[in-house]
Amino acid sequence: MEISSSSAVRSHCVGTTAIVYASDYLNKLTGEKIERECRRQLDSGCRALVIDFSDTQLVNSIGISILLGIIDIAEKNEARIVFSDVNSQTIELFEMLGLTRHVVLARNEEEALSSLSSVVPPTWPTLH
Amino acid sequence: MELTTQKLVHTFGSLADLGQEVADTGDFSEMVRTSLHLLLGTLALRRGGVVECAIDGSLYCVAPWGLEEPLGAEFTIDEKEKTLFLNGGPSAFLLENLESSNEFLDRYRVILKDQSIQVIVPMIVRGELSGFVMLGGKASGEDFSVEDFETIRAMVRHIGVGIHTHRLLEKLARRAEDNRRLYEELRAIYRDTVKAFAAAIDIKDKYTKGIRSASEGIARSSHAKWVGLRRKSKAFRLPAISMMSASL
Repeated sequence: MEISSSSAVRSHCVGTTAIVYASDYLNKLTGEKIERECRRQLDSGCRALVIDFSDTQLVNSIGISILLGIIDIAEKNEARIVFSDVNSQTIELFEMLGLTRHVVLARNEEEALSSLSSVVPPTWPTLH
Repeated sequence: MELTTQKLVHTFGSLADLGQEVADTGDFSEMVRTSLHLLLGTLALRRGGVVECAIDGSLYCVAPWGLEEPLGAEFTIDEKEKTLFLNGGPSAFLLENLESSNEFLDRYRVILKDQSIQVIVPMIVRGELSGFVMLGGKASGEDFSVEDFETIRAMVRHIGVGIHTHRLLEKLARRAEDNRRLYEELRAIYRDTVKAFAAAIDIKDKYTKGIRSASEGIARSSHAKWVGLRRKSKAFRLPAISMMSASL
């Protein structure tokens, strides 16, 4: 397990899966940090991303836009993406905006990792 | 929370953030990029771009997001086409709408569709077309609703005003710099003229004739005396002021 917090975003790797921790308020500043960290992890060879929202209380519009950007990057890199430990309000928001069509939601990190290690990978819809 | 209320709260939040962003006098590119993010995040649109319109009708992309390459570099628009955008309704800006008689859209439809752009919204400020916001489809896969168009238009109006204000500020800063330079030049010319006059007087005057820069020397010594007097007067004034304040 490799632990990294160099870019002020907590993250660690489990095999080829990177787990990135979102902060309490996902806005422009923190969103861009998460995006950079996800890019870095994908560039360094990770094939799956888990974004942990256990500390996240609020996600604003910019946060949504940046998360869509991360989904896009993951798709381009043929990497899978899971959002874990998302609070009920944020789930409602993700469902309302259609983000849940593109990511798998998991109750916690363990569930996220086990969903990624399942034999049949989920199919990722492509948006145009 | 009811879905409509939730959408409303989310949109209100975005509008509040957008208002704050466009009023910020900071970095222009950052302002446009953040505003675009806010618009995309409000409706969960995966890609888009803000394109500005130059006076000569050429377009250039100020902020791209999720696009393969910045849009608009090869685009041009003429006055007639601009008018069509000024008077057109929301349906006219949908690329899917082939019934729309907009030559601009017809000309670039293929390029825009290749970049997964679905809607082009004109930025109209003070009755003039200042650019476009080009938007991709919704992450939900749903079509744009009338309410979505209303939200987009409201936010695009804000972005347009923000860009316009920033451009005006840039113009003002340029004018101020021009004025400062003009002032410096005029000052130098004035100083040189006075010097030339003084030199001419020195030559003509029988007492100063032959003495190089006599006037300048007098000016320098007068200045030194004046500075000295000023210091003295300050020294005299200080006890007087303290005495006055004591008497009060």
